[in-house]
Amino acid sequence: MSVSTRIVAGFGIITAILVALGLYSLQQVGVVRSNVDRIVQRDYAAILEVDEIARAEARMREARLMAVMHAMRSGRGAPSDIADWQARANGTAAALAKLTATAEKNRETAINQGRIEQWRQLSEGAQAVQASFDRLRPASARQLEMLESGNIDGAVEAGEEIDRHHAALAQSLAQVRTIVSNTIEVGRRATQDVYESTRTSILIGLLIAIAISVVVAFTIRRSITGPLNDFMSFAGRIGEGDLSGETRITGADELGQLGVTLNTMVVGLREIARQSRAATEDLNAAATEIRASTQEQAASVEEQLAAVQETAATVDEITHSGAQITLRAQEVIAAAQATAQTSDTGRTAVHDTARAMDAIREQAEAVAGNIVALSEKTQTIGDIIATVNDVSERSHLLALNASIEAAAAGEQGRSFAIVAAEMKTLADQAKSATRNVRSILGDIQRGINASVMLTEEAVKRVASGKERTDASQSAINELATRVQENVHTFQQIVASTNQQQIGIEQVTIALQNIRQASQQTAASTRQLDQAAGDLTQLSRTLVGLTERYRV
Amino acid sequence: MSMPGDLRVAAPFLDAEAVAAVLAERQRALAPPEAADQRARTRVLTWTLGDEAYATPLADLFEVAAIPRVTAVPGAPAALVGLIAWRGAVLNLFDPAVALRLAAPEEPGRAMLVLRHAAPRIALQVSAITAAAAVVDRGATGGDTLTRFVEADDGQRLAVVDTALLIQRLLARPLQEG
Repeated sequence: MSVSTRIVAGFGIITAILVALGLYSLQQVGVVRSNVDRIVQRDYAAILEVDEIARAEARMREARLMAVMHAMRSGRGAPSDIADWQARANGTAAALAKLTATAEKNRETAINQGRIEQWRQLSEGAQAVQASFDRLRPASARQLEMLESGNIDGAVEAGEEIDRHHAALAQSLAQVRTIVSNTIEVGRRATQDVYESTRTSILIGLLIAIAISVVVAFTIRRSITGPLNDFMSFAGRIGEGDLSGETRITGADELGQLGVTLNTMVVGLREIARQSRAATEDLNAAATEIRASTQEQAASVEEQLAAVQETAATVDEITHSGAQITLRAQEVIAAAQATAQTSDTGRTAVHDTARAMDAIREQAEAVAGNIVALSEKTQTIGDIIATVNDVSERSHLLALNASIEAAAAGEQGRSFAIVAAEMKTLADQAKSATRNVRSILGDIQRGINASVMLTEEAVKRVASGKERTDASQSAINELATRVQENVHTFQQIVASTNQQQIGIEQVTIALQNIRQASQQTAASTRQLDQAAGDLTQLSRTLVGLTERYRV
Repeated sequence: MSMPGDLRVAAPFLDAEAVAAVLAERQRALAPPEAADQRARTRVLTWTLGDEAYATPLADLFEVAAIPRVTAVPGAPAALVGLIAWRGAVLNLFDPAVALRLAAPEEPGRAMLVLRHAAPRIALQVSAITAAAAVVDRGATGGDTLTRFVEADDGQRLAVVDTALLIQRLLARPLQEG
């Protein structure tokens, strides 16, 4: 059952209860009203009838007294008065009969025993009144007959009896009035009882209706607020950031649909939170990268600024050195002209030096020739020494062979052994002498070689010196020429340097512009870095926020 | 060995070493023989093979000479250097370094020792022939060693080669008879 149906059913039940209660109350009120109406109506009718009886009796009495009076005046009663009295007596009798009938009828349909009793008493009272009337009427009739017959004295004497009967009738009528009053009182009490019972039943019905309403309301409330509390706590958890759970589905009614919807919502929120977290993390990473790149850019701008500064300083140096170059060039020009004069002097000196070199070379060549002849002689001596050495070697071997033969000869070879020993000694001496000669020859040869080498080296040096002298001469000539050329060149350098100055001034202006642009770039980079820092801070805050949600 | 008070002798064309050797020899010749030393002396010939010095008894030698032209023999043992035509005969020239288990000298020897061996005729290639000397030699020990140490008169220790054993080892393979 859906919630609306339940609520509607609850309200319907309560409404039905209220309607039932109202109908019952109306019905009870109607009963009360009808009872009260009946009681009042009957009592009022009884009072009217009693009054009618009293009035009729009074008119009857009046008519009788009138007839008596007329009769006393006229001496006889008038038939009209008697007829009048007869009519009125009939009216009184009719009223009495009506009263009795009414009492009997009301007694049968009275609402309670008290009323029945009262109507019975009223009926009895009416009968007593009837009895009194039954005694009064004939008495009154006899009186009237007497009057009619002209018996006034008898009529007057009958008056006392009639008065007695009339008093009894009045007393009975008074009792009937009393009974009617009591009947009214009983009727009032009966009305009160009916009202009390009706009120009690209405109250009981009201209490029952309230109880049923409370039960129905409690049931509906529980069936609605229970799931609603669950949903509220679930929503509270979602509000705190716990997106990991889901709520219980209570049924197919609106609350069940609400539960399904909440679960769907949580799934959606979870997805959104995940995406938000991913996006925020990406944002954080991107912000960090931007920050890093802005910082790099700031660093590079700073480097650029520094480089511009260095370039400006270098340009200043270049300007300064350009001025110095001009100065030096002019000095060089002056020096070159002095050098031209000096080169003439140098040429003369070189020429003299060349001539001296030639003379030295010729002498060195003569010395070399002598040394070569000496070397050849030494070579010859070496060959002789080799021959002597060979002889000494052979002598050595011969001596050894002699020793061998002497050893083989035994005792007979002793003198030969001495000869062999002396021969070996001579051979050793010759060998030693040849060794010394060879060593001395070696020294001589080395000395000759050294001299030859020195001489050759001297010749080479002389030749080299001659070459250098020629080179110097040609160099001096060339130098003079170059100096002259350099004068022109340096003059051109001076002109170029002046032009360079102009270019450097332009470069300086351009550098200043670059410096300004770099400073602006640096400022904008700082702002960018600041913005990147703010972005990073924001992304960190977002990360912190998304961290709240547990998925 | 020079001592304080020695006269310095100089001779033309002789260096100090040669002069000292001549004087030492004359000193030995003129000195009386040592009475205590009555041991028998053997005359040996000292020679060198590379840096190593050896000696051979003179009795085992026939002749010493410079090495003439050598004719190599294909398929010969490693110790055989080649054949030499000497005084009308054919000599087998050996390199004793193999038998003495020495490394081959950097330069081949220029002198040879002709042994007293009838057949085959054997000569040893040596680096140089130094001199003849007298040593106290107790003879071969009888073992399988090719060399034995002896003391010369000048105190020098020499390695004397056992000629017979050397020949025996060199002739381990058939040779040319000459």
